[in-house]
Amino acid sequence: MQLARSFSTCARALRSGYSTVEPVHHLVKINKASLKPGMTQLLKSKSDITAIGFKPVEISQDRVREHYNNTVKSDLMLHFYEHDAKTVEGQKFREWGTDSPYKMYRSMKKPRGKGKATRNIKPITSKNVPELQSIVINLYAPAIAEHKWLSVSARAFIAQITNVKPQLLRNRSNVIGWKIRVGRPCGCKVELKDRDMHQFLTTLTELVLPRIRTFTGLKPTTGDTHGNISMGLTEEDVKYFPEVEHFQELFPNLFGFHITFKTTARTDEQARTLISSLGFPFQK
Amino acid sequence: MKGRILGRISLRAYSTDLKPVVSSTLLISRTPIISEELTAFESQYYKYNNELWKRLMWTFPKWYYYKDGTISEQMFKELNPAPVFNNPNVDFPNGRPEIRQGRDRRFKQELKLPKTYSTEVERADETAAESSDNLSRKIVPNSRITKADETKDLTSLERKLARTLYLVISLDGNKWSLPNFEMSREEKVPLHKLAETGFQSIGGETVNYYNVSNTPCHLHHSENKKEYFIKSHILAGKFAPVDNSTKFMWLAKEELQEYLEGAYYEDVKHLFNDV
Repeated sequence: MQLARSFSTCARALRSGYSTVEPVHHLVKINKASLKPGMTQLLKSKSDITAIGFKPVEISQDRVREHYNNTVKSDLMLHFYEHDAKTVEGQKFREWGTDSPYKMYRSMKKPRGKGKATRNIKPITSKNVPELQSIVINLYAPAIAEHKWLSVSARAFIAQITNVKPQLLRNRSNVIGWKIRVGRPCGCKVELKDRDMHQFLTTLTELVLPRIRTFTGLKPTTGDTHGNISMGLTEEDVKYFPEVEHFQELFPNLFGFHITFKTTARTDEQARTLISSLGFPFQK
Repeated sequence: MKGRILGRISLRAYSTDLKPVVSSTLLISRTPIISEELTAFESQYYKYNNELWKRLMWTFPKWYYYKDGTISEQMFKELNPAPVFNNPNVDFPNGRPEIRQGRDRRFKQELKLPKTYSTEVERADETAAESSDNLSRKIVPNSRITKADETKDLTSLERKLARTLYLVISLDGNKWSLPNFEMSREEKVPLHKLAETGFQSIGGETVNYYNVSNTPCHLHHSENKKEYFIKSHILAGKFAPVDNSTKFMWLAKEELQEYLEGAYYEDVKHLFNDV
């Protein structure tokens, strides 16, 4: 049976199969196979004792964490204290205004300055004292793009000095002049957290950096303006890591890499102070 | 910022019309040098997790670190003999060995690595300077208890290495207090400067210290007196009193309770570190 077209508002309600829920167009690709119940075990964190690949995390005392909690944290809070400090608003996406109906559904205007939204900088209280979140090691070597097998050496080297399995990096663009092809391995990266991070940090500050003759400290201008500090080590520098020092025949190919300290600080100045308190010297 | 501090109005009313005496106290501390003392439960917890971690660990890739036929592989083999062979003709009353890649999977893998340092006998002819330069030397941890702990030397900076120590001084030998310096009514100086110059004048001339902030971390009110606290850490050097009658001690939190006045300690105890 087909209903005659009517102009009343209840006509829609009579139509079958009408949904009030807006269709969702996923911007992120979802692998639905991985959502099946059998896969839930794999979604668990490895620090969870019921997970298949359980790995105990709290295996020893963490002296960097102790130093941060007992000494550095309270010092930083006092150090960054300002009387009557106000939140410094960051650059945000802006409305076009309401003076014209054409502006109503326009996408928002870009933020002032560089056109990127920035975070608000809040006064430091006991709840937002800057903290080291993770250390990211990024190794890119043009030699790997040329000789594919070197990516194995690079990953073995990074795994050896960090105790964490690194992720293989592949080229994302074709540059003929640099002999770069899409999809070819070009390096590896790893993100260190908690004990692995602290272990790497102490190795770096106590055993590696003091032995590098050319090292004069981190640059006082370092930082990405959002509170992350970076530094680099060359092939000559990395041979001082004690994990590879005694196995020189196993690691004939060493690579320099970039180290990024990701912190919860919102300005570079705060991040530098934090990194300095953890034992990194800075240039004058 | 300084202008803002001076511009603030104190809401506290004093009993006399006289302006309160402003003073600055230097809360100078020696931060812990070694890791925290663990409780019995904590050390057991870490030990349990560590053993569990070792038990769940993958087999050591001997073939990667020690190539077949090398001298280092020989040394490794001598130190780590192969486990008992799972002989099918033999009965194992305590369980059959489960050998994979030269490891009995029933147990955690215990490895002995070839030492990077020479043995005691060979080291005898090595001079002290040589051995301290040698980075592959055997690492011998120092004792957590120092000579100052044994002799109960309260003036030493090398006592209680795992704790934060605070400097207390006594001008007469009876009344102990944190180093406090009064501001003169004629000449006004910033609070942190007052504390620093005062500290240097009583014997901190050779001390290398780090001032955490110019902002005081606490304000203690007493009879017509305002006492501001400036936090700093000693990095190097020794506190040596200029005046011989001045006594000093480096004390941890619970020891401070014995030496400082009761009401005063109650007001400032949150400034001291529990560790």
